[in-house]
Amino acid sequence: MIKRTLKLFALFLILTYSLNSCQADNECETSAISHAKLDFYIIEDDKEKAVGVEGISIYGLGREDSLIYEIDTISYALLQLSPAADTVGFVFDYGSFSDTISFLYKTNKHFESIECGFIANFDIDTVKYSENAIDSVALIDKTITSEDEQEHVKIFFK
Amino acid sequence: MNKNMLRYFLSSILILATTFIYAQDNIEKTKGIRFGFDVSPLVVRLFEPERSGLGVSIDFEFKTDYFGVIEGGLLNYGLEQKNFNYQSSGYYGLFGLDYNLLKAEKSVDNNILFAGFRYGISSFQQNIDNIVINNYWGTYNAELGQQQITGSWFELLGGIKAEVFFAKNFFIGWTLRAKTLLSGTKNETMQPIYIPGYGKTDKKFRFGISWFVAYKIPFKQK
Repeated sequence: MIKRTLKLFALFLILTYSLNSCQADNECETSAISHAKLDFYIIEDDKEKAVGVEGISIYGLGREDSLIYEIDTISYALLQLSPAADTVGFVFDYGSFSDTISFLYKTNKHFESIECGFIANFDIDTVKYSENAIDSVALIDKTITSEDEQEHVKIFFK
Repeated sequence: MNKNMLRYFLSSILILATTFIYAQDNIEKTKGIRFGFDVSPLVVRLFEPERSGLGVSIDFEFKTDYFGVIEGGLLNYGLEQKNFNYQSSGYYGLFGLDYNLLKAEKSVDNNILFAGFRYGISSFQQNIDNIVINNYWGTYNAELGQQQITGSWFELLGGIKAEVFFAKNFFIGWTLRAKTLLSGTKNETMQPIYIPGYGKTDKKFRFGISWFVAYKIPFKQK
């Protein structure tokens, strides 16, 4: 009788194990990081025209040691804002001179998944800029999430 | 049928078979209030250490083959991930009915094979801290703090309660539960990952199993 009871208990254990063993932890597969997408334009004959900027380096203001783009030719830039601050600046270094673009924004912590945890999304409030090579800036989409790949800011060069 | 459902299905058949083998055959049918203790948290804790809790139940046959059931418990679910810690802890209650399907053939004993339903509610606290977000600007740490949340759900269930061969009025059994969430996922900051009594909220439907031991306090027969 005791033997049977033990057998029954063992069966319970095995069944419980089999029911739960499939719930293994998955690794986070998406690189969930929100980027602001800045597309580059020039105005030609009163029309905006996408443009590639040659020999440009971009880094965060105060982070000269960590270049996001290094002497590159690009027609857009993907830039990460900081969840720890409400404003960050980026330096557009053209070689002999530079521009600075600053973002004022709010951070929203967004729960992605158990595996990936939280990501930071942003609502852009204002964009400020210097006018050395930049003519003007237009804020197109204020909301930055990890899912969207669309244009947030248009930068018109002189 | 997916892998999980198959597991539940196979185990339910196994448990059904074993419990009836060990159950008593001939015993006088008695009425009474049955007090149950949910042993699943104790067993599950060995394999799922992030979950701990305690559950009890009361059922009473108010009309032949109809049982009114109240279940309740408290549960703590804690998850320590690389980039955040999550804790959900609180109380839950379930109210519903069981109907005995074994009436005609097996009316002489106290074993029942039942189908039933439950309405479940939970009031719990969710706490999220040690949030880590890494990006170009470095590592950012945050916490969301505590939030008080309520959730509710509905269950369709089936199972058995069998009087064991070695002790009168002593029952063992299991309940297989199909659950669907009615409320509790809408929250400003984030939807709860885990609702005590319901489970993880990542799927619209959940299957669960609970095992229990119970003792029936019989009414004196006149």
